[in-house]
Amino acid sequence: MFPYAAYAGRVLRVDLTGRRVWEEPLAPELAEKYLGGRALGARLLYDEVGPEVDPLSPDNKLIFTTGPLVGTLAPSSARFCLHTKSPLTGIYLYSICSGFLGPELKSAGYDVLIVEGQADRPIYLSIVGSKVEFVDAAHLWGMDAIGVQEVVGEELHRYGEAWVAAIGPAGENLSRMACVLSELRAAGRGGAGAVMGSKRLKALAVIGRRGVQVHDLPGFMQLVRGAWQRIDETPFLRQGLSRYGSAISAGLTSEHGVMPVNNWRNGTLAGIEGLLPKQFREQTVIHDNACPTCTVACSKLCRGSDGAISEGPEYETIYSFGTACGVGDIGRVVQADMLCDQLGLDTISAGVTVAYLMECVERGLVGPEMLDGLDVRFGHGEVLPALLHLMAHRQGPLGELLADGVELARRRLGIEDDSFAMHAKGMELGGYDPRGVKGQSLVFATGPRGGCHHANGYVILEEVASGKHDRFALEGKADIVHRARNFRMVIDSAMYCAFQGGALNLEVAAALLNAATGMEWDVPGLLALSERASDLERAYNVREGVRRADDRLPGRLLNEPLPDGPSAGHTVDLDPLLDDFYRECGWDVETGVPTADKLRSVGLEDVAAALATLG
Amino acid sequence: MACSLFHVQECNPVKSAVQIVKWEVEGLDVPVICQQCEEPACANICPVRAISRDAATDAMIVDYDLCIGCRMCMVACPFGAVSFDMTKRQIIKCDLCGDSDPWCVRFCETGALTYKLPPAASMDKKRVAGRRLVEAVGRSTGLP
Repeated sequence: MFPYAAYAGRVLRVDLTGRRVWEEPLAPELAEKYLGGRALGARLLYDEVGPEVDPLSPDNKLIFTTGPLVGTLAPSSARFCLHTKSPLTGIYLYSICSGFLGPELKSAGYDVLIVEGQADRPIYLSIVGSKVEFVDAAHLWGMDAIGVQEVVGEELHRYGEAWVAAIGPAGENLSRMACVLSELRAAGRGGAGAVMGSKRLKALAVIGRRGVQVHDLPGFMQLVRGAWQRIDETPFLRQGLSRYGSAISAGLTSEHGVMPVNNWRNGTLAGIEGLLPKQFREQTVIHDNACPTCTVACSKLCRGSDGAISEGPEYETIYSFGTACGVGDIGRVVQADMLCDQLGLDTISAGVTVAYLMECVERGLVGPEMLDGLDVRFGHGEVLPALLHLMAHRQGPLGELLADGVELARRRLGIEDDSFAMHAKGMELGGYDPRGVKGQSLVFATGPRGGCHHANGYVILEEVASGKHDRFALEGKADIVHRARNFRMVIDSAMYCAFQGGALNLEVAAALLNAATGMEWDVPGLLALSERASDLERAYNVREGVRRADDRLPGRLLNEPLPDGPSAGHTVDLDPLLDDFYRECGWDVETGVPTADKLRSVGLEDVAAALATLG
Repeated sequence: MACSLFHVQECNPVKSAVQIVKWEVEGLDVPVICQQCEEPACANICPVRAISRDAATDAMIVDYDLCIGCRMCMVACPFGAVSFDMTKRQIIKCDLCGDSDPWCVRFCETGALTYKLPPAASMDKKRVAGRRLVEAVGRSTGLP
C-alpha cells in the first residue's frame, strides 16, 4: 500500500519495441522529495534519458505524470505533465496540458506512464484500467489531431468514455514544433508530438474507474470551498480571465509596448484593436469553456475567418500569429489557432517561425522563387493557412525549410546573422519583450526548456502591474524571477493551473496537499522542493552541455533599441541580470552550473557527484 | 464530483449520478440527471421491485438488497440517467442525497444547479414570464 492518499502508487511502463507492458510501484520517497508533475517528471527524465539519447530515437522516453491533486476536486487540478528530451532544443522538456486525461490516468490506477521504444507500425495505446492494448492505427495515420480523438473514442466506446492524447500530421512528419493534443488543449511546446511520431504512436487513450480518495474528506471539502471563494475574490481571475481568457494579457503588454510586433522589430501595431481584450470578447468569443474542476472558464471558443471555430486563441497565439506577424485581423489568428490544433503544431513556435520568414522575405534573404507563389509579408494573414499546411506536412522546399522552427530555418538558409531569429536555446520566445520588462530576460535566457514564458513564472504581473517596481531597472529583478520560478514549480508539481496562482498561494497549496494526501507540507518545505527540482532541471541541461554562455537572448533584444511605443529606446543588458540570478539560485556565476554545496543542501548528493565528473 | 465524494467517498466522475455530456467543439456541456419521474420507467420495469419512491424526498431510490443488477432500469430510462458502477457492479442513480439538500447543488460554485420543488420552479418561471409580459405591454402602450 502506498502510504499517502490521493496517489495511485503505481507506475505503468510500456515498451513499444517489444510490445511489453509492466507495472512498478511508485517509490514513496519520490512523492516525498518531488511531489508529482513537473518535479517528479524531472527526476525520472534525469534518471532515465541521458545525454547520449537522440530525441527522435527509440531510446527517448515519453513520461506522463500526474500530481497529488490531479483527479480530486481541488480547483483546476485536471491536468497532466509530459516530459521528454526535446527535439526542438535538444535539452530538458516538460509540457503541461489540462483536461480529462490526467485525472483519467490517475483513475486508471497510475501516477506515471512511461512510454519507450518504437513501434514497428503506427499504433495507438488503449489503457482501460490496468488492461493495456496496442491497437493498430494504420487507418488513423494522417488524420488530424482533433478528428482522431473522436475516432479512437468511438472505437473504445464499449468500455466507457475514453480521454485521448494524439498527434496530427505535424507529429507524424517529425516537425520539431509538433504538439500533443488532448481534447482541444495541448502539451504544446518543444516538439513532444514529434517524439510520439518517431515512436509511431498516433494516440493514447485512457479509461479509468477507480477514482481518487482523499485523506481528510471533510477538511478537504472545506478547503476546496475556501479556494473557490479566493478565486471568486481575485479580480485578475473573475473579471479578467473568466471574461477574456488569457487574451487579457494583451491589454497589459500592448499598453506597455512589450507585445512584440513584426518579428520583435517594433513595439506597436497599427490596427491592433481587434486583438485587444474588449473587441476580442465582444466580436470573437462565442462561448466560455472550463477544464474539469475549474470555476474560472478561461477557454474561449472563438469564431474566425472562413468559418473557423477554435478553442482559443490564448494570449501567446494572439502574439505569435497576430502582432509578431503584424496581423491585426483576429479572424486570421483564430483560423491559424484552429489549424495548429488540427495539424498538431505548437502555435507559438509556428507563429514566430512565420514571422521570421516574413522578415527574411522583407530583407531579401528568401526570394520569391521559394515562396510557392504566396505573398508573404508582415500583416498578410491570408498566407497563414497555406504556410501551416506546408510546414506540418514538410511539403515542398518551403515546408521543409519551416517545419523545424526558427533556428533550423536560419541554418538551412545559411543566414549568418542570428540576431533576429527570435528564440532562446532553440525554443521560440513567448510574447513579452524583455526590453520593456527586464525580469523577462531571465525567464527566457535561463528557462529550463529554453525561451518559454511558463517555466520561470509570470513575472510581468509583479514587475509591471503591481506598481512596485521600475520595469526598466535591473536591480531586484533576479529576486522577482527567482520567487516566481519557485512558486511556479510548486504549482506545476502539486498540479493546479498556473492561472490560479494569484488566488491560491503556497499556504493554500500546502493545506490542500495535506488534506488530500496526509503528508505534512509547509511553505518552507514546498520552497525547498522548488529549489531541488529547479536545480535538477538545470543539472539535466548542464549534463547536455548548457553553461552560462548558452543562457543567451537574440541579438535584437541586446543591441537594437525598440524604435516605437512606451518601451522605445530600451535594450537588455543581460550579464548583470545573470550574475544576480545565479547568485540567487546558488549557481556558479562563471559557469552557470549549480554548485556542489547547493546541490547537497537540497538533497541532490548524487547529482552533485555526477556533475563533478563533467569538469 | 461532489456526488461521488458523498456517496462513495471518491473523486470519481464515472461514479457520479450527475453525468455531464460534453461536445467540446460546440462548447456544449449538458448535465444528465434523474428527473424523479411521476411514471418512473426504471421502477416500472424493475423485475424485483427494488426501486421505489422515498416518502420523505419523493426521490426514486434503489434498495440494493433487492437489486439483482440486471440493468433493465438503464435500458428503460429515457434520459440515460441510470449509470453502472463497474467496480461495485451495481447501478448508480440520484437519490437526492436522502435529505433534499443534494451535494451537487451545495458544491455548484457557479450556481448552475439549483434544487427546487415543482411548485417553486414553476412559480419562478411564471414570474420571469410575467415580468417580460409587463415590460412588453409597457413598451407597446407607453405606460409605466
